[in-house]
Amino acid sequence: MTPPRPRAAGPTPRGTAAAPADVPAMPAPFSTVPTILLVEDDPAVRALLANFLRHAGYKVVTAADGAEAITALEGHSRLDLLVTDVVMPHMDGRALAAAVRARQPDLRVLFISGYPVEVEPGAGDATATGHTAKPLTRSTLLAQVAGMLGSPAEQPPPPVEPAPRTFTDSGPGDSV
Amino acid sequence: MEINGHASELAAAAGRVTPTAKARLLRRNCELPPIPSVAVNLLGLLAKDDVAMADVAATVSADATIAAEVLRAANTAYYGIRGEVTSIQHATTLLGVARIRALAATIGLRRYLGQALRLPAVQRCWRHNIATAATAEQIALRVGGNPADSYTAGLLHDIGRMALIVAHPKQYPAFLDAADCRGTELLQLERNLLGLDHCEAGLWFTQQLLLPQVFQDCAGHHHNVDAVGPTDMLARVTAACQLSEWMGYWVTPLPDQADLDPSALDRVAVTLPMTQRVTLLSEVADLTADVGEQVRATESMFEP
Repeated sequence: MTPPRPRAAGPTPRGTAAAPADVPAMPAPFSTVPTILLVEDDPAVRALLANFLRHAGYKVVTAADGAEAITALEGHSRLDLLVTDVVMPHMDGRALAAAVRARQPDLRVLFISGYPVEVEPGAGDATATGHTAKPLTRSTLLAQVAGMLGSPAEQPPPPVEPAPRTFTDSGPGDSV
Repeated sequence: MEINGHASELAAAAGRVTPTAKARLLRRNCELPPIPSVAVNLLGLLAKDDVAMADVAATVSADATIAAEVLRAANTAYYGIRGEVTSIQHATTLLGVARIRALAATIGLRRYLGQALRLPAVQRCWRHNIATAATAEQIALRVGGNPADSYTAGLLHDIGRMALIVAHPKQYPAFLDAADCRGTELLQLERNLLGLDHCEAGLWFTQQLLLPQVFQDCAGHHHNVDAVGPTDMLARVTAACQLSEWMGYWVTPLPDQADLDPSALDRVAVTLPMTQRVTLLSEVADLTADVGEQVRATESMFEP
């Protein structure tokens, strides 16, 4: 298992050594930084949204589809938010949310879709389920997530560094 | 010119970039996307101050498709030439070296974008580029400066963005759709995502093309004029970039901001000397109309 990276006291300076593009399985049970599982089948959009969320201070685990998301959950005792595309191959976002909520009934879920979606409310309060429409802007995403989780601004910044500087789309890895 | 990241080329390039960029480039062994040779040749026309008319005509004529595009452009009503222009030599004589160079650079840069231009975000980048070029030219016509070179500097100011588009044809356009901010905040988000921003990429790119320093400054510092001290051209291009966004030729949308908002003029073109700025803003409606006409004329050059 990848050892936990030390917590940074502030924003990571630019130009430091490249870090893994994904956050490893969360080993710190007492961490107060919200952990988000982001599921999106488009790799470019997935990497983009994960980058926005990480630099806003959240821990982010990514998955390309429902099956990969279920596998990713094995390494995490608890999630704070599931952000998922609705239309995906094999298992759509609603089926994934139901599967994850079978394990964690009070999980908050934010659906991303280009179409209006009807979603089952979660077991938690009225803000347990949200929906945001595509095309999605950074400020809209962060406002929705902050509204559902509370802003991570009060938390210490996470150990996020700039992505390895690559000039091709096949560069930064973002899988689980 | 091949601009791939072979070790020898990186080593050679390392002497021409900033220490930060050099360290990053060498450590990560990155690669810039190669630029088509015909585009390089056209942009190469900008590298000399005193390029001969015959050299320009020969370079443009070397590629039949490019030559046809230049001739087509030269025959549009925008340039107001009486009679039909039937050869590149004739076009160069009538329009002048500077205008043909600017035209060739426009065609070369558009060719560099290639199929990416089907994406709305890339189309916005292209429109912002030609609008900034037109605005820089109009500023020069109104308050002083070389109009054709100002056009070219405006055209090249976002060449780093073009490189990022070609290198990340999916992710960077998606980023431009989602990142609803501009200026230094946008640069930071680019660095977060890609490890470098479009100004760093632009500086690198113009250095690789051996373009004159003034074009390097505009590509590398149009969001931070304090870094080099505002040369006349940099001040003009920075103002043109801001004004073109104000006119509606923006790349990234801003929440709750309308185009042509008079109250937002307070924050644009501040890089210009006060007297020039006052003159320019007093006729901003005419400026906007002239830029719009020039943008439409340029776009019509490429319509099927």
